[in-house]
Amino acid sequence: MWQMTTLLTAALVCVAIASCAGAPNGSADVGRTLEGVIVGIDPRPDATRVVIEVEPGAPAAPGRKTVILLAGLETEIFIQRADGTVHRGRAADMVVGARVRAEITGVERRSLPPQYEAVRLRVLPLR
Amino acid sequence: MNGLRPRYVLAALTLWVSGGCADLPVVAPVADGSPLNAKAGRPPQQQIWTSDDEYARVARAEVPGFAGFYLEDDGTPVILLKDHRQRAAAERYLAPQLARARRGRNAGAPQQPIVRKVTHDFADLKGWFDKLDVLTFREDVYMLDVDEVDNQVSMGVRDEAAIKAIRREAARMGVPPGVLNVEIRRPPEMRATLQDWTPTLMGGYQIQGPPTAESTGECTYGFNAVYQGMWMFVTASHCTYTTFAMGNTIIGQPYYRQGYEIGSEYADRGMYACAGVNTSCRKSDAAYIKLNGSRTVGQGKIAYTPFNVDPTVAPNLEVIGQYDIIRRYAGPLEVGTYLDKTGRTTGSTYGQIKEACVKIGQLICQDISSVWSDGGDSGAPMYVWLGNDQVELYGVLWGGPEGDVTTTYSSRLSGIEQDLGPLTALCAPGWGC
Repeated sequence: MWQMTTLLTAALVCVAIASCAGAPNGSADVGRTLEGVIVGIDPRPDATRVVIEVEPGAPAAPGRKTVILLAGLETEIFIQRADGTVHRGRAADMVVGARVRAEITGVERRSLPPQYEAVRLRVLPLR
Repeated sequence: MNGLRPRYVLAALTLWVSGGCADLPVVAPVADGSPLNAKAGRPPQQQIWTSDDEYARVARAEVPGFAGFYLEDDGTPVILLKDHRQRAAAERYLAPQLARARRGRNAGAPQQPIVRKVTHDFADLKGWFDKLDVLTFREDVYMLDVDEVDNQVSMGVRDEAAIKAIRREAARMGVPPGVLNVEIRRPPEMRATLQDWTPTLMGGYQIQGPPTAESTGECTYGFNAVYQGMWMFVTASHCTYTTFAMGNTIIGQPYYRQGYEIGSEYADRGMYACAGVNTSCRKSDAAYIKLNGSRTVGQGKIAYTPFNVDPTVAPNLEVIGQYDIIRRYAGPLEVGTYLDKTGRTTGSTYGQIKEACVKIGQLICQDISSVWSDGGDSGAPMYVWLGNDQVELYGVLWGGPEGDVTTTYSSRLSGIEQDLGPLTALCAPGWGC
């Protein structure tokens, strides 16, 4: 009985740690990604528009200098700290000047600047 | 005395000397009765002082008999005088122009000006110009110029009949024969681009929704239509403040600025059971914008540019004509059908349907074509080109695959109306659709 309780407790503790840690550290972003610096944030009813200046060389949005990432209810937002740990975040955690890595759907809405739905956004630590 | 004041005076004098012959209109008093003030039949108005007025003044002042100055094709400066003895005075007066003439592409041009002796000085020519000015109100007269190169006054007109009429009038006014050259010229055209302000609203022109922080929010005007008895235009929903939702967005043309507003969002919606029970979708990325009546509505009109066919070359956005929408595009859209569009970023381009009636995200039955489009073209009208400036309206452009500007996603007119409501008056007047 005591062993069962210990095992159960250990399992519960493991589950608790896993759920609080959010995404595992260093997990690879999949899909089309781009990185850039946030130059504007505009919360709107349908999605927060995060305007970024794209860093050259990204796999996604080649040739684009400024794009709008749409962070809606379904966008997963993470904050990566300087020590490498990654935690769940919210749209309100993004600030102008922060670097982000975004995984986008691949569909481009052709306004100017173009808009992309962000599947995942990771706010990166300052360099 | 303020130690700065002499510097301001010197700066002002320098500006006056160097700018005196620039073609910047400034207000200057002109004595009544002078040849320069001969504007018969005109209502009194402030005299505008142009470079022609200045040269006419010089011809009676610093350089008597001065008749003008120009550069030959190779940059050689040419001074025109009635009297060669005024050469030194002319070169003193034209010193800033002579210095400017040796810059840029003319840096290697001969430095010594050529002097040509002519019959009429600039004051004479300007006086006849002013006399003939009243004839420019005729609809068959396009332009009037003091032509210093040929030492005459030149008038551009529509046709031979106009040439005869003008010559008769000029003789009656006492303009000496040989002074006036009248020739047929093409009528001037306004060379607007799709990114300019337009007095008549029609498909293809630039619009701007509310810009977000640090970004511009430019899109393209789709097409005009009547909805619920009111004039609207259709553009992409994501060009409004909230995508797939009503937001009362104000739209400006070409800019989102006070005085440029053309309308406000009137119909848009979120996802709904567009494909039946338990579905959540839309059939278009489109919104209706109610026009505010501030500009003329170009019913059934779409602007077009020269065809832009090479995405590696900057597109030509000059508006060279208007298409008439004569029909809605009806029937299935087969793969291989040619589709055209006019958008503010890439102008008029065309391609072929590659995949028809595709589900893209939550939008059902969208079409994918090889039309070249880019950021800013969202909302552009898409149509089937028939030739003779006639088209069939097909829908609106809204996007494409990230990283590929040679592929375009678009929504059909039928899907737009199923989402937002039926439209009428889509076609140019007389075509009944």
